[in-house]
Amino acid sequence: MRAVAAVVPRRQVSNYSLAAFSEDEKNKLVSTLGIENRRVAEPAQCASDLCYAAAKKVIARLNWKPEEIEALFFVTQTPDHILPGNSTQLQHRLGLSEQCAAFDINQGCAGYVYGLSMAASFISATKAKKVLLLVGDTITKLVSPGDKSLEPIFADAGTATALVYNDEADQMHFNLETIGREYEAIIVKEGASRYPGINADAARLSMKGLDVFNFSIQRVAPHAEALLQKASCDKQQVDAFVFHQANKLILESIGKKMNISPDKMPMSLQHYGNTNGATIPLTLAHNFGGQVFKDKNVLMCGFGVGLSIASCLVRMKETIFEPVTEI
Amino acid sequence: MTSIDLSDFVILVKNQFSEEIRDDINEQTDFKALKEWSSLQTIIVVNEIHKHYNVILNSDDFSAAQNLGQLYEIVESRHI
Repeated sequence: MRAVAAVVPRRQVSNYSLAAFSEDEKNKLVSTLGIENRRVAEPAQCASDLCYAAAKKVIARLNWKPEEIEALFFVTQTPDHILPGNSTQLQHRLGLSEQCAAFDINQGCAGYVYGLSMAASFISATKAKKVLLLVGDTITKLVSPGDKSLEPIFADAGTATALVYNDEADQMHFNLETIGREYEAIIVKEGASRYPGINADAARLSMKGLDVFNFSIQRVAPHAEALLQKASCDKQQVDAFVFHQANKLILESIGKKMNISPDKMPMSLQHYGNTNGATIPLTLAHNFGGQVFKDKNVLMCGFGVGLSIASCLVRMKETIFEPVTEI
Repeated sequence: MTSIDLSDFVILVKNQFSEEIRDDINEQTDFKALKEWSSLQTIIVVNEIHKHYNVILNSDDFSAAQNLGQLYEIVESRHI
């Protein structure tokens, strides 16, 4: 991993301003979920726009020539169109070569790690020298206005991660899990082939909040522990544990179960909410923007839509984090 | 198996509600009928019960329990 950048929409919404809640409810909401502000895309602003801006940042920061990039991976659940996926559009928009491979991955909260695993596998198999991983969503467009369960949680962001082939890089360790029997726990049921739907309101996000909460507090910590065991890595050797920013209660529970010191568990939830697959790189950019990680072990773990859990342990040899910017 | 004290359980749950209504909550309370009951409140209560008793409650449990005493019985039956 050579560089990470994150871009958020300029429009900021405070959870203290939500009209559907009383003052007491708002206070409880913010203190419990840990989400105070969220960034919400304008109607004309898509995940592709946010990721495009993030990609431009990493390309400029690394002085890459766009034509040198051999593959582009785009992870989103809010693509511009049903087809084609965003990756082909971005290949053109970023001025990448027509010899560049373009992949689209439909993954949610675990999407960043899934994307990393696929990009890393591609690099390992093809020895591609420069690869871009774009992960972003405008998930707020799927939330019904005034939905008291979901509106205070979700927000929008786009990210870009630059990956390079390095013969001497340490192995990246992955642990990927799928609990497909719970596929309806977080779902946009209508609007695609199974239930085409008749209007935009029929294609909204729904979430079985208690089921997802229970899944998260029961499955994520053992999953991450299993990764460490698989990688023969002691917890003390990990410099940062970066988890999907679901909500404060879930993150506190995971931290406590794994006995992780809070200073090793960076957060971005308070400022940016839950941005689906983008939370992990956004958290990295928010906490470490302007820094370069040299020889640091970072555990990243996403969990949610699917239901899926994906974690990886990466030794960052020299990884640049750009500060979060807005467009 | 260690048993859970009913009054401790009621105090734990009632402390998750605002001070204005706490004193009115007891084992007979139909907690789901309380004005403050919501999806967020459910998660707060589930989280506290999990932290204190290591018991997970799901939506079926909340459908089955008509009052706090019945919720206590479910938790007590699973507590190790």
